[in-house]
Amino acid sequence: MDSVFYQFAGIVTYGLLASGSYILMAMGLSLIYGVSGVFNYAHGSLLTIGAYIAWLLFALFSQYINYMIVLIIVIPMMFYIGVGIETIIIRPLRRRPNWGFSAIIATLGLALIIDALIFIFFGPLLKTLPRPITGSIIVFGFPLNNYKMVMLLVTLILSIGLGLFFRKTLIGLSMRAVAQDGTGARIVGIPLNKIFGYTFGLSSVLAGISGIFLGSSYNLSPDGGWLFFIKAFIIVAVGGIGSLKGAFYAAVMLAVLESIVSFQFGNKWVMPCWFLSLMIILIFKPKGLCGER
Amino acid sequence: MLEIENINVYYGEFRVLKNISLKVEAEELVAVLGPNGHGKSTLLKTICGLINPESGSIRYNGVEISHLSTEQITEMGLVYIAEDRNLFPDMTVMENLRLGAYNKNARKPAKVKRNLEFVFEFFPRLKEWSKRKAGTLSGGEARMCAIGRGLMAAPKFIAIDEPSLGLAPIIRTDVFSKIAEINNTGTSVLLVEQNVVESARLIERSYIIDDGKIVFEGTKDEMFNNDHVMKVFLGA
Repeated sequence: MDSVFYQFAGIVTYGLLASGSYILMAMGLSLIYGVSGVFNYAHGSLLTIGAYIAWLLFALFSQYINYMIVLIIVIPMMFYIGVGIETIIIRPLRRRPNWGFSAIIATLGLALIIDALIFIFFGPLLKTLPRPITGSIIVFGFPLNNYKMVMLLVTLILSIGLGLFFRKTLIGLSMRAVAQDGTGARIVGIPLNKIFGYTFGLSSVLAGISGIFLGSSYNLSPDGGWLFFIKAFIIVAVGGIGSLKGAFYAAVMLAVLESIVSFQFGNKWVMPCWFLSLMIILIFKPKGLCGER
Repeated sequence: MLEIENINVYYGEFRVLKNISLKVEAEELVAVLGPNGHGKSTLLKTICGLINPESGSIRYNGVEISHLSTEQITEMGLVYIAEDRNLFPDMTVMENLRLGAYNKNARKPAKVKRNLEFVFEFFPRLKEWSKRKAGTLSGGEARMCAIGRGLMAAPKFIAIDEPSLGLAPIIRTDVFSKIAEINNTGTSVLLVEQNVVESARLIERSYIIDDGKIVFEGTKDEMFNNDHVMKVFLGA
């Protein structure tokens, strides 16, 4: 009895630890949709970009660099990449009728281009990022990687930071305002285009950070972002599309489910089970756990 | 303060405003009256830059604003308070008010604090509701919140659309007297209304719009003494 309980507790803890990067990537995907109504198919590719930039930095300056410095470099780069995508690709579409569908096509095309460029520059061989921290501690008989705990800690700090950002800063409040009533936002003088740009920037930063996190657990490949895009998609749909809180809870929930399923039935059953849980939740809550719109 | 000359506004092929000209002097309270669906709201949306006119000119303190964005116009102190309020429903009353002060001239912390005190003095109930989500407010409460949010922008001129719409008579009177008070503090007001009788007390001068054209222009007395205008356009 005890050993079963310990095993289960260990599996759950393992899942909780794995939720860090899922939380960040799903919040990023949900954020863009919530604020600007764009479903960004290039989100997975942005994840890949973040991971490859980190890999390049390690490859070039391995002696002089650590994850702290990598983040300091990657965060502003991802931000401007996001702003650039919004300004150059999405903004011109927004003036047209049916622009939502055009935006889907455009971000899908962008994803394919990014993947191709990464393939051209970095080649098809799998790459790995160094593990920032080694060692592990044993909890309930399960080895828990120290670096995964650090990742989760960083994720939680970032999530709290995001919460404060959306409640306390004028830009954060403006993003929520644009999400809730675009005309109301214009009336109080909020420049919509600027806010859309910042939102894409912030979302890309979240994708980039989760890309680095995932890159230190998995191998990097040019089209490796797609699996995580699909995962982020399911998490966001479970949590309620556009809701950050929903993305957070759904990421934790599905990460634990992933851990349970892969221990009990094996890795290949994870995605079907995720999808099954998505369908069950949508039957009872058609707009997801925290979805309002 | 505000001079509109011969503006024409289209929704697609449909011409909503036809050669409209009107004027609001500093500290004046001017009403635009007339039946629903005849371009009154469109007029206010055009003034505040949500819609661009096809032709004609809108000058605010001598500056041409007809092709500026709402963002730029708000910054100049011309603030629009919408008929359907356009509050941010999942945000608290306080957050809504804070965003009212988004424009560069109103957002400094000291100024936000002062304007907030002014708004709370003006609508004491808003202070009580400050932690409530705007989406949970009743019609009258939401109207006060919308006006409060407009005042947070430190306006010199407010364009307010149908403030009495959907409100119980007793609350209507309250809202009208608040608008008169705002006007008394030196803010010019351009008011769009259907409710002629109840708003008459505060109107100095009015225009009547019918089918996108101005069909009457005059002082309150001229309007009330004009049987034709009262019967045909105002149904009173």
